[in-house]
Amino acid sequence: MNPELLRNLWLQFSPERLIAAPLILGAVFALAAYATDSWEVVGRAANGGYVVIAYLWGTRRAVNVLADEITAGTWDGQRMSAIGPWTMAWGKLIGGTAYAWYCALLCLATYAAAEIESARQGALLINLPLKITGAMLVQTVALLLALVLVGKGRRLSRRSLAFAQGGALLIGLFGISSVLLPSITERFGFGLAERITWFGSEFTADGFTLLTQILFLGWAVAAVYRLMAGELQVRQRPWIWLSFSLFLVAYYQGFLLLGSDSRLSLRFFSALLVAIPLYYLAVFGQSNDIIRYRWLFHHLRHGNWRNALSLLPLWMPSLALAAVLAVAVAVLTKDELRTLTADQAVPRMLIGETWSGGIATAIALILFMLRDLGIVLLLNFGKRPKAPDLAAILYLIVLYGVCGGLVAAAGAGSLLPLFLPGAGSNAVVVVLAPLVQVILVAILLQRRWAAQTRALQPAA
Amino acid sequence: MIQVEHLIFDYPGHRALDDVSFTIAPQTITALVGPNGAGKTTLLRCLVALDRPGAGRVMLEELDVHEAPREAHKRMAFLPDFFGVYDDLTVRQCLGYRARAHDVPRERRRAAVQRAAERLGIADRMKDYAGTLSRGLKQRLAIAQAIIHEPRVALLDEPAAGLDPEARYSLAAVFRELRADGMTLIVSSHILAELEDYSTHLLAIRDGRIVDLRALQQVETGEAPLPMQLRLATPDQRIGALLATVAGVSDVAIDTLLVRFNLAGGVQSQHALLKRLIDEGLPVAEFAPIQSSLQDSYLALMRKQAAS
Repeated sequence: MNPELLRNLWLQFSPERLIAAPLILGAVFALAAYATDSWEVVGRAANGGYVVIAYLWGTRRAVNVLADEITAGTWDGQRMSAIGPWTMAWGKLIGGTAYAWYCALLCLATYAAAEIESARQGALLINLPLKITGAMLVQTVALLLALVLVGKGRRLSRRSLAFAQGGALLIGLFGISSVLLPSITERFGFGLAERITWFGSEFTADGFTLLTQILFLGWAVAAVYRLMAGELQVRQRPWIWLSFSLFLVAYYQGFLLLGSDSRLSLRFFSALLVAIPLYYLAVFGQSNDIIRYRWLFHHLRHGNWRNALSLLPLWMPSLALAAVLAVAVAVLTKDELRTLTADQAVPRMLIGETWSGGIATAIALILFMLRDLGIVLLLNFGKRPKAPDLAAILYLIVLYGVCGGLVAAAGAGSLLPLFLPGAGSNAVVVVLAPLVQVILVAILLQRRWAAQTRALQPAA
Repeated sequence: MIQVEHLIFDYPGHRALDDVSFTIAPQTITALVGPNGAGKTTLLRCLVALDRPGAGRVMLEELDVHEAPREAHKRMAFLPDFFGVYDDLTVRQCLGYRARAHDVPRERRRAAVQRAAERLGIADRMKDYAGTLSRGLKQRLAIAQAIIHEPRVALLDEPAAGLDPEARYSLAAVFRELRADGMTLIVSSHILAELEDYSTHLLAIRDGRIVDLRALQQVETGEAPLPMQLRLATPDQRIGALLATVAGVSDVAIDTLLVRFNLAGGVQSQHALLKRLIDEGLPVAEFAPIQSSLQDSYLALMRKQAAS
C-alpha cells in the first residue's frame, strides 16, 4: 500500500471520527426531512453539504497536506525517503483529502437517494460523475498551486494557502466547470449553453463539461506529478508543459466551426490567443531567481545540454510557440483577419480599426512579451526581492491598462504603440515603440545581473 | 564511501559552497565544523540530494546522488537540524511508516522497526504518541526513523541541539554503536566537546570552502609527529642531551621540570623512549602525549584561516 496514503489514513480515520461523520450528517439530513417532509429539500441540503465539504474543506485539506508537512518539519524526511514522485503525488492527493471525501460521499449518497425518491434518477448518471470529477479537479488544482508556491520558494503562510485554495476554487468553479464554459461558448457563438459542438461532434453542456473536467483533471494530476518530481530532486524536462500547451491549443480549436480548407487565420489566431496566456502563466508560475538563470547560461555556454534542459524556464518554449503562431498569423493570412472582424466573433479590442496587421504586429507582440519578461526578471533579480511577481503584475496593469487607457481616452493615438502591441497604422512605429522599451529594460536587467553576480566567483 | 567533487552552490549574491571537494572513508564518524554561515547545512543538504548544486557531483560509492536521488536515499539517512515527527502517530506507526517509505520489504519490516527502536532505546515507548515524548526521546525517534532502512551513510545536522547532558552522552554512545555496525556518519555540531567523544575525523569548513580534513586519532595511526609532555620529579640536566640523541624527537623545549617535544613513530617510539629514560635513571614523574582538544584544534585552525 502507498505509504503516504496509509499514513494519512492512520492520521485521519480514528474509530471516533469514522462514527462521528455519519452521525452528524445523518442528524442534519434527518432534521431537514423532519422539518420539511420533502425529499427535495433533503437532496438540496445534501448537495449543499457536498459542495461545502468536497470543494471548500477538500481544497483546504489538499493545500494543508503539503503545508502541514513543511510547518511540522517532516517534509525533508519525506523528501529523503525512497517514495517516488508519482506515489507521493497520489498518496498526498487522495490521502490528504480522504476524510473529507468520506464525509462528502455520505452527502452524495444522501443526495442520490433523495433524487431517486423524487423520481429524478435519470439526471444522476451525469450529475454524480460531474460532481465527483469537479471536486477532484479543484482539489488537485489546490495541491498544484501549493506546489507552485513551494517551488517559487514561498513559505506556505495562511495568505499563501488562502491564495492556493481560492485560486483552485476559482479555476474549478468558474473556469472550466459548469458555470463559465457554456456562457463563454454562448457569448462568442462557438456553441450553445445546452448543446456544444466540439470538433464537429455535438455534446450536451453537462456531457461536455464532464469531458472537460476529466481532461483537465488528467493534466492537473500530470502537473502535480511534475512539480512533486521537482521537489524530490528528480530532473525536470519541459515536455509535460509543452504537451499541455499543445493540448490547450487543440482544445480551443475544437470550438471553431470552420471547414478544414478555410479561415486558416482564425485557427492560428485562436491558437495565439491560447499561447499568450500560457506564456504569462509560465513566466509567473516558476521560480525566477537569478541563480537558476546563472547556471542555465553556464551550462549553455559549456554545452551541458542535459543540465541546461533541466533548468530551462517554461516561458522559453511558450515564447517560441507564441512567436511562431504570431508570425504565422501575420504571414499566412495577411489581410484576412481584417475582413474576419466584420463577420466573426473575434475579440474586437485586439483586432479593430487601429490594428496595423502584418509582420510588424507579430514583431511588436513578441517585443512586448519580452519587455514584460524583462520587468518580471528585473524585479526578481533584486537583492532582497519582496513579492516581485505581485509588483510586476501591478506594473503591467499600469502599463497596459492605466497608461494605455489614458492615452486612448486622451485621443493621443500616436502614443498608443507604446502601450498596446500592434496599435497604430505606422508599421515602423509599431515595432520601434516596444523595441526601445525592450532595450531599456535589457540595460537595467544587465546592470542588476552584474551587481548580483559580482559577489560570486566565476563558475567552474 | 563518499566522494565530493568540485561542488558549487549559490544563493542570490552569495556563494555558499565554493569548489568543495573531499572524500569520506567508510565506517568513520566525521565531525563537520565551522562558524555560523560557513555552509555546513548547505553542504549536508547537497550531499543527500535535498538541494541540487549548480556544479560538481557527489558520489556515494558508484552512485551519483543527484542523478538518482531516490536510489541514493535508500542508502542514506539525514536528520535535519529542524526535524519533526508525526505527533498524532504512535512511535510504532512513525517507524512503520518510515520503513514503508524506505521500501523495507514487508517480511523484514517488523524486525526493522524493532531493531531501530532498540538501537535508539525507545523500544518501551512503541505505543506512546510521538507528541507526548520528551525532546530527547523525539530526537531518538527522529534518528530511529532516519536509519530504519539500515543506510550505509547517515548525516546529522546539529543532532544534539537542545538535549540535556545525559541525553547527549547516550546519543554519543548511539553514534559509536552505529559506526561499529558499519555505518559512516557525518555529524555537524557546534558542541565540539561532544563531537570529540565519538568523531574519528574532522572536516572544517569556512566561507564555503573546506579548510581541513584530517583524522583525529593520530595516536592510533602513529604517522605524524605527536606533541609529548614529560615531567621530572627533580631537575636533571641530562634530559636535553639525551633527547637530542633519540631518533624522531624534535622541537624540544625544557622548562626546569617540564619538557615538551614532538615524537614521531607512534606508541612504539613512546615505549622505547620511556624505557630508555627509566634505564638512564632519569626521575620521570609523568610521560604522555599532549591531548589537544578538538576545540583547541578548531580555534587554532580558524585563527590561522582568518589570518590568511
